[in-house]
Amino acid sequence: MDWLTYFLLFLKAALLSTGGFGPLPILHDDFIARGWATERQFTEALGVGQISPGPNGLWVVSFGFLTGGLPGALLALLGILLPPFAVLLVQRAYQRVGHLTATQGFTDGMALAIGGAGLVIFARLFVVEGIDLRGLIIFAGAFGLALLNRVPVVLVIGLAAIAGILLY
Amino acid sequence: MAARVSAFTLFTLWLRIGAQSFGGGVATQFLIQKTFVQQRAVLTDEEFTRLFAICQIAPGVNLFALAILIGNKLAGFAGILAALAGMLLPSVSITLLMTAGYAQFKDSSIMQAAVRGITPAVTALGVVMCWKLVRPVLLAPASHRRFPQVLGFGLMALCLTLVAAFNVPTFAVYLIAGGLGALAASLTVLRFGKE
Repeated sequence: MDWLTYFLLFLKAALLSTGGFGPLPILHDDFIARGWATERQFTEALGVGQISPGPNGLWVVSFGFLTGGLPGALLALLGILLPPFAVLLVQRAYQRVGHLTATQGFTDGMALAIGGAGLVIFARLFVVEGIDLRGLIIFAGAFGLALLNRVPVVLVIGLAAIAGILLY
Repeated sequence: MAARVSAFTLFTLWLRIGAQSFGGGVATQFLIQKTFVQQRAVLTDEEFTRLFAICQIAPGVNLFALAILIGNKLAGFAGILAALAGMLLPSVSITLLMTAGYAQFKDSSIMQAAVRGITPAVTALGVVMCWKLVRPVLLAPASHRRFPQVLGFGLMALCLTLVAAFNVPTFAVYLIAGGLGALAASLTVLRFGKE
C-alpha cells in the first residue's frame, strides 16, 4: 500500500462530495477495487462514527485506523480536513450576492431541503435497526429531553445506552 | 454588532463540544447550536441557519466547514485553528479509542444492546435538530418572510418526497429547493413589492 495514493484517495473523496457520509461511495469504489479494505471494515467504521463524538465524517478516521493503523487514521483525517476550507471562498461569493432577494430565497429553500432530507435520513436510520415498542419508548424519552433543551446530549445518549442494555 | 470571542475561549468551547458530542454529527450540530446560539448568544438563529446553509454547498464534512466559518467570524484565522483543534482533539482521540475497543468487543451482547438503545435517541435528537433548522424560515414573522408561509411548508414537503420516494441525491435536492426558493422570493417581491 502506498501512503501517498492512500492519502490522495481520501482527499479526492472529500473534495468531490459534501456531508459526513458523502465520501462513502467514492471511498468504497477505490478501496474495494484495490483490495485495501473489506466490506466489513466499512460497516464497522460507520458504526463507530455514529456514536463517537464529533462530526459523522469522523467515521473516515475510524476507517483509516482499521485499514492503515495510526498513520492511516492521521492521513485520512488530513485528507478530509483540507477540502472544507473551500467554504471560505463559498462564503465570499455568497457575501457578494447575499443581500439579493433571490439569494435569500435560495438559502431559505436550501434550509428547508436540509431539514426535509434530514428527517428522511434519520427515519431510515431508525428503520434499519427495526422499529419496536422499546425503540419507540426510547425515541419518545429522548425527544422530550431534547425539546427541554436543558439536558446535555451526552447524558441523553448515555441514558439511551443504559435503556438499550436493560430492554434488549 | 459583531460579536468577538477570544481564540482561547473559542478553543475551550469547542473542546467541550468535541468531548461531549457522543452520537455523531447530530449530537455535534445540536451542541454547536446550543453553545453559540443559546448559551453564549454570539450567533442568532438566523445567522446560524445561514452559515449552516453555506456549509451545505462546500465540499467535504459540513461540520468542519461550520467550525471554520464560526471560528473565522468570532476570532479570525486564529479562531479557525482554535475551533478545529478544539473540536478534533477530543473527538478524534475518542473515535480512535472506540474503534480499537469496538473491534475487541463488537460481538458482546451488551455492546449490541447499547447500540440498539442509542439508535432511536440519535434519531430523536436529529428530528429536533431538523426542526430548529427550518423553524426560522417557516415561523419567521411576516415582515421577515421571503415568501408566503404555505410555500415554505409545500417546499419542505416536496424535498421530503423527492428524497423519501424518488431517492433523488440530496445534493440535487438542495439545489432544486434553493432554485425554487429563489424563484418564490423573487416572485413575492414582484407581486407584493415587499423588500
